[in-house]
Amino acid sequence: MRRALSLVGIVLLVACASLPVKQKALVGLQTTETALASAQDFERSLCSPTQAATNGPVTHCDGPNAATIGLTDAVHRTIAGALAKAFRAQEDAAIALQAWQAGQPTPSSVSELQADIDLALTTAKQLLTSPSQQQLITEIQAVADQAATLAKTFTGGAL
Amino acid sequence: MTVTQVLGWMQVIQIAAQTAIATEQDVAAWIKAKHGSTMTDAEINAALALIQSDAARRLALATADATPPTTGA
Repeated sequence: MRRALSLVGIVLLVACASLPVKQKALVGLQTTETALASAQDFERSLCSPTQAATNGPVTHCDGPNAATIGLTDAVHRTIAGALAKAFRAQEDAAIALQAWQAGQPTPSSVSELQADIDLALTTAKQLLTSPSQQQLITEIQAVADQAATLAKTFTGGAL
Repeated sequence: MTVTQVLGWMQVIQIAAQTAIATEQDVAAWIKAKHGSTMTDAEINAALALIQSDAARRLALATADATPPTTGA
């Protein structure tokens, strides 16, 4: 998943090399949103496939693999909290980018987005330490990589 | 909600209708289709508004997940 997302990101960035910085930032933010959503969906389905399928809150980890990989209710709530911060930062970045004009400094919310996603990754790594949990960490790492790419859009792109 | 915000959302709805964006999920495919050509500022802002909406929906879901269940009396 991470490799596929990275490849899509690279292809889009290369294709968008001559596009305005704001459009490149839009592509980066969309890629980050997709990766973040994928990580959330994956974690929720691991915790409880039945509750996740309802698109409502997942309050108890009763999935067949949850106990095996140590995804307890407490771990799920902690990861969800970190993801909530990341989604709030994502929302703030989308709002800031709508008002952003070429030539202005990088919106602070974009830097905060990267910090909050890095925090989500760190949280997941601290809570999920066994090899069987690696796929979830990889999902969140992909989000962090996309956020870093988004931040570089403002410094590496020509206006 | 201010007049500016209302006007902004009206523009978003108008752009979304013009570009046949029905849901937040469609925005990714729309941006991908547009990646080779320059988008107008209004189109970019319409797409950003849809990302904002999707992030808000997922924020609500993550917040609900992170909230410990209350024990009933």
